[in-house]
Amino acid sequence: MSFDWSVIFSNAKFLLLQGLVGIGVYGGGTLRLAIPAILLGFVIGIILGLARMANRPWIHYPAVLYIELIRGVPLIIVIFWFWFLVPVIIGRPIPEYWVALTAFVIFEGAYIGEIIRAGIQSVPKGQVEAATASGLSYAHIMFDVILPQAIRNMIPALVTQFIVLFKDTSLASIIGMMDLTKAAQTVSERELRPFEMYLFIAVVYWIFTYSMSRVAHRLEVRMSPDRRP
Amino acid sequence: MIEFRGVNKWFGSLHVLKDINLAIKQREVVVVCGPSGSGKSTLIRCINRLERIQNGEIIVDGISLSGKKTDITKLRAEVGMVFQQFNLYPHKTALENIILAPIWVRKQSRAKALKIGKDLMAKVGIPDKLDSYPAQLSGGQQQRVAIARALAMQPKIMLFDEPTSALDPEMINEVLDVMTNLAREGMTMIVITHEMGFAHRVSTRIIFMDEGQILEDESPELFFTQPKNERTRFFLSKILTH
Ligand SMILES: Nc1ncnc2c1ncn2[C@@H]1O[C@H](COP(=O)(O)OP(=O)(O)OP(=O)(O)O)[C@@H](O)[C@H]1O
Ligand SMILES: [Mg+2]
Repeated sequence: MSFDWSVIFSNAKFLLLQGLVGIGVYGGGTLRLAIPAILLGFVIGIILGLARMANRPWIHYPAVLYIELIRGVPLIIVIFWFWFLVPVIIGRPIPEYWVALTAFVIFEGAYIGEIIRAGIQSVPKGQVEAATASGLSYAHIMFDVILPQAIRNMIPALVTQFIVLFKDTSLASIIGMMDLTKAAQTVSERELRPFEMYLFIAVVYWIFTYSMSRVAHRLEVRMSPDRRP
Repeated sequence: MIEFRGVNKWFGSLHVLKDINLAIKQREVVVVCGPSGSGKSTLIRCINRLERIQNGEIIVDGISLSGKKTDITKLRAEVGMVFQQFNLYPHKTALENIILAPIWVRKQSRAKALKIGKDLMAKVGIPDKLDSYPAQLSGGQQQRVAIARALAMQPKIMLFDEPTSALDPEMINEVLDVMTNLAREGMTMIVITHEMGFAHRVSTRIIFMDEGQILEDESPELFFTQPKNERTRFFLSKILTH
């Protein structure tokens, strides 16, 4: 059996429009899932990270519990909770897309929260002391001294996490959401061309993740004028 | 200018400042020395409340630090601090390091802060490094920027916590020279240092601390020639032979 380019060309529109972007008769789409999941996960992560560093126990402990619980279970289990359990509890089914989005945001929030916390804690104590000693307020210490350094330190870990999340969206195909992986599976079952299909989508995934790491690298360099020779 | 009245401080069960009584007048240059762990850093960090005391009272520029109405931020603006590790903001240039607090705390206009900042960089001898980042400067240059940063707030008091201990020997003097000029201009200074030459030439008083207590509080002449305390003699014999 030789490599069949035509099966890729004839199905590219379905794979890219429906599978990747999410335009078509099925709800879904890898990008339509990944982009809001990354943005919302980031917001939840900032809140969790700051909450975990809070002194007040009623803010601190719920955040610790959340992060440690979620990080202790596989992502697929979280997806299954929302797919099988939550509909039973609320008494009606939830569309695949919303199940996947909720599960991803909840799952990613825990990891991103830890990255935010580690980033802020990576700023040496002396920075806060110097800023405090000069009479700056808490808000200025946070926004002018700590966060610019913390965010720069966080970029590599954050981008790795976003890349992992982007690839993990393929798990949504297990509950039947029409993403890139599910689209490739559908086509390959019809055309009996799994090799071409899965190779094609691997390239698509790779292009996106590689671009993400390039952009991150540029961002890191741009935020580090002091580290340029 | 600065007064400690019966000050005690503990870190957990560790008693680090034991009944400290001390009064420092305007224009005095007080050198603090003593073995590692004796409480020197803690002593001066209490002055701008980087550390809190458990009992006693500290009065700075006529204001009690423990007063309920005390605006600690305002007080900190009057007290400049220079650290052993410089603690410059690595993501800001030398000039940006200097103008941050004057703009936000002193509410200076950016133009005025920049003007003062440039003058101070000239004063500490590195007028050509305005736009350098800390990582691009030598240790001695970084510490001079840190001094300029503290001076930009036009403080009434300057605190130095081992400002030359992290420097290569050939850079120590460029920092001590800046400090000497500052002392000659009449700045009230407390300096933790083991540079006994500097202490001898510049200070008006030398304090020796051990295990959280002030064991000696003397003029430099008496401190070096007739130390009262056995431990002071032992300490001096150790550091002066280097
Ligand atoms: N944040 C802290 N928590 C607990 N213990 C501390 C803390 N800071 C200092 N100590 C302890 O308090 C004692 C006094 O410390 P301090 O830093 O004031 O000493 P020092 O005289 O400045 O010493 P060095 O010459 O090493 O700088 C030491 O035993 C130190 O271990
Ligand atoms: Mg010290």
